[in-house]
Amino acid sequence: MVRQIRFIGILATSALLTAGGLRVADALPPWLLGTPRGFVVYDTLAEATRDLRTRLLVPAFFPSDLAWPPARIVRAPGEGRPSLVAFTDQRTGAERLLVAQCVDGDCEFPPELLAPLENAPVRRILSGGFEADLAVSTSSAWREVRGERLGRRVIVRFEGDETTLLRMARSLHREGS
Amino acid sequence: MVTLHDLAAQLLLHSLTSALVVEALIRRLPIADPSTRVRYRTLVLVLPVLLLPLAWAFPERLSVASWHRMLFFSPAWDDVQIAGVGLRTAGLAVAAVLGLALFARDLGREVHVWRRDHDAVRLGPRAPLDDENIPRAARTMAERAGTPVPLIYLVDTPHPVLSCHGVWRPRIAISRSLAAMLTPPQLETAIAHEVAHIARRDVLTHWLLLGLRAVQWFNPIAHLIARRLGQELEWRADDDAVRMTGSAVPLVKALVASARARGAEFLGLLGRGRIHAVEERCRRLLNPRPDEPLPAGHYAWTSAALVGLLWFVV
Repeated sequence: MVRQIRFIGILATSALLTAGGLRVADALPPWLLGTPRGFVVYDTLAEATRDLRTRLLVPAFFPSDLAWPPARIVRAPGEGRPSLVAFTDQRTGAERLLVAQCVDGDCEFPPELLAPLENAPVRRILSGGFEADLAVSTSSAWREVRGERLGRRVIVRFEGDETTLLRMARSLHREGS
Repeated sequence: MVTLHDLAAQLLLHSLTSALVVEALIRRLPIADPSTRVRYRTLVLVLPVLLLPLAWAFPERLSVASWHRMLFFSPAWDDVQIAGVGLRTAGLAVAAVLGLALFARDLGREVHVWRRDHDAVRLGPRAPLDDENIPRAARTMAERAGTPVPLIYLVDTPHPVLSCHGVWRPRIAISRSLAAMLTPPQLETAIAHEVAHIARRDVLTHWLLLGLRAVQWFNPIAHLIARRLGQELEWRADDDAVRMTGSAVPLVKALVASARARGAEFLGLLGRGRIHAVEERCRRLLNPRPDEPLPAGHYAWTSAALVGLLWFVV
């Protein structure tokens, strides 16, 4: 019996130490880069669809100065599967449109996925039947609408004018549908 | 999309994990019996290869999210760049080069031994077996080991050659120079060692190991484990030979004489390793470590723990 307990103890310790050591090693690059572990990065919307088993919302109205396909598709860990689709400017390559959404309806967006918009007073708007909060940054050209679209909590953040932002937010649909 | 590159990386990670756990067990318990060691090392070689195709039976396992949850698979590993190459890609490339180098070296040695054996078989029947000690020792040892008497082939080479071959028709190749160099008790114990390999079907094990290594040629951990396993097969045959002859000293003397005769073969980059291996064999023959008995079901426990660790944790 003592031999059995000793064996299981050594086996469990070896397995735990190995797993622990490898986990610490695995945590180093995300820690160095400041990106939390558990974020899933997809190469394409099709890959995200396959993995999430649902289509992500993207705007049907798409200004010609933005580049298609999305530059970044990320899913954060946590309840509600918070996800982000980012589009860049055709010319500069900088991100100009971010569509954050809760795949399962409601969720909190972690700041590593979508940092809060600073210095942005919020007002309630109703635009073409779409009721949402509009936040306009006073210190940058970014603005965002926060609301619910097709049963999902969404935040559409855009570096540009309000009319285009609202048109994009209203036109959100399941990609491919 | 999960790529071949990802699968190779997973196999590498599984090999590393199981090798670390098994090495810790062998050292901490400790496991001195070469047979048990061989079984544990085989587990390290086989388990990652068996687990990989199982992923297809569980499609969830192949999803990107599930893949990213595995250790060393987060995109951050490729975000850390060295000279424009992601850390994960660079690590895999280095592992593959190392793996290929180790495999190519050992495969080259295998080909060399196979050719030497082939020549021995071709020349053997014509070479007169002038030393009666060799067939007598082979007969006695085969009777003690309970195996059919192996065929003996004499090799005409100045190198000290003594090895067993043949999966279905066991045969022992011995060089005339070695037969002349060893005393009758040394020759008897050396033949006993080869008979022990035959009785344990080590030639088949050897080829199966080579096949497993070929499947994971890019995996340096598998090659290092297989080399270690090869040494432990030798230890096991040594122990069997000592049991058959009743004394370790002639085998130690035969090992030292053979190593001395190799001379030039033992020089070079790997020479130190070979000398160390012979020294280690001699040391453990002269000072055998008492083996603590392991509890019943130890192998099943370890296998289950490793499967759980590889499937659910890493």
